[in-house]
Amino acid sequence: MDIRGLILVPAADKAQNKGLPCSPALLDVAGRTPAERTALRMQQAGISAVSVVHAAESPQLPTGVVAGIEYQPVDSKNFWQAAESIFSHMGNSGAELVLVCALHTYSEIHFEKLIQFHLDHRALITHAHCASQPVEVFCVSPSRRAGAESLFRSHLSGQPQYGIFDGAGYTTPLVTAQDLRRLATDILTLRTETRPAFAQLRPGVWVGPGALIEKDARLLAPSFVGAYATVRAGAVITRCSSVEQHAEVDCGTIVENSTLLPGVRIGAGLDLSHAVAGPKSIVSLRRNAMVEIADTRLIGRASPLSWTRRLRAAGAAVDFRGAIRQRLFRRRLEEMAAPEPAPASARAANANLEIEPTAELSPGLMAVRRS
Amino acid sequence: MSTNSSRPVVVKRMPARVDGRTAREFLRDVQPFLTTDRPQLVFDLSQVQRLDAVGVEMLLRCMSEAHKRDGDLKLAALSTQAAVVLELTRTERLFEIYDSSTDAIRSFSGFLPNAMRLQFMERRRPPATAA
Repeated sequence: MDIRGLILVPAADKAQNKGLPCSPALLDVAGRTPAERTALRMQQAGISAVSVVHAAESPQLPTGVVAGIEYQPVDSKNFWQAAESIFSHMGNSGAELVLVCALHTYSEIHFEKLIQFHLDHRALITHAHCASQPVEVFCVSPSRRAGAESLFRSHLSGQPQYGIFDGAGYTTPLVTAQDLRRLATDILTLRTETRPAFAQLRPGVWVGPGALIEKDARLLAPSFVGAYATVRAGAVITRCSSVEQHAEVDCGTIVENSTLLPGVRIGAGLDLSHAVAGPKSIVSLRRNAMVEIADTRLIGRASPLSWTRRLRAAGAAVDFRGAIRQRLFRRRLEEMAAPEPAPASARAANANLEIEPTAELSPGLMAVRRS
Repeated sequence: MSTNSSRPVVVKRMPARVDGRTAREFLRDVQPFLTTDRPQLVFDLSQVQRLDAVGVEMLLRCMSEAHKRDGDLKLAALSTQAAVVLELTRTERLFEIYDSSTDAIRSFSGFLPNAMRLQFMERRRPPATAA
């Protein structure tokens, strides 16, 4: 059976998600965006092709790429029309069932059970509920267009004629920075079915590949450091904090119950607590306010130079021949630069110095004791 | 500027944007008050919309100057922006912060004399006699 997934991420409401560069569904939470997490859960339920349709508000921040997920940016003004046409295209290209999911809410509905319920009841559209509360997850048969059209034209609002599947599972709204933090906390405290993206360095501490954790930095569980992120000496990451990919925490800074969005750098000696930090702003969760910060000494973008340096380093590691050639050349240079050993008499010109036999040392070295 | 019976308390409203240039100008304005004997200053931060590291350094410098001359600098009516930046830079714990300028002014006249009054009363209290 050809079942496809359609994940919809409409344009974020600027009044509600102030301080975030785009919809929280497209921002990394413990290594993966909620859109990716939903798509992965769909793939695990046997849905092969998943499309993520998002408003083209162009997130500047790098997002991870999962195989088998197609991202389709559309004009935010005609978002629902575009979503409907993509849905129609799925139907025309042979999809027998489409799972439509809008990410105003992140919910962990059991997709397999939802599909089975839909098939058993031969419904046109099945609306998923979670603990008797409606969530924006629908199972739609695209062969009967009329119902699907009304679904998209009503912006996925539930209608009484739809079948209702009442399942259980984790659900949280996904609109504001507070919601983003709540999801991060729930993922790191393992309240969700989905898990942080990478392996655990030790219990409760997840670190992504290529992350640089300097020697004196402290990661206190539960915490997350994303791929290629940097945590400098003396920094502390604690209380469900999440430092996303390519972010940087400078020396001595404490990150407590906070999220550093991808590619964000926080300066040295600071105290980021109960906040979500973007490249030019901080959303304070305690004060429920967004504060713009133009001073790059406090907060800014992680230097793109460090990314290019890492890419070059990775390239050099792959280029074995070049590395060997470089090493040989360096050795030759060292040989040329090494001074000729001076005669023993000249070396002992100072009468106060006593020369010891140098049998155990290399020819260029000698041991001298001051008398 | 507000005065009480002893020494004046200077209240200065900080500009909306406190960056390098405005911080220097502000410092120049308050310098005469900082160099007096035992200065008592209150900075009103209600208008502050943007505060950066230079602004925070300027506040610390003013406080240090005031302390050198046995005075004090208190902050009042912090805007959300100012409060978040002071928390971020861990400097909010260095200042006495009040909800309004009036409260800050009152704290200068209220706290120290009360403490002194208690000391004075203890000194004057007659020693307890054994029954």
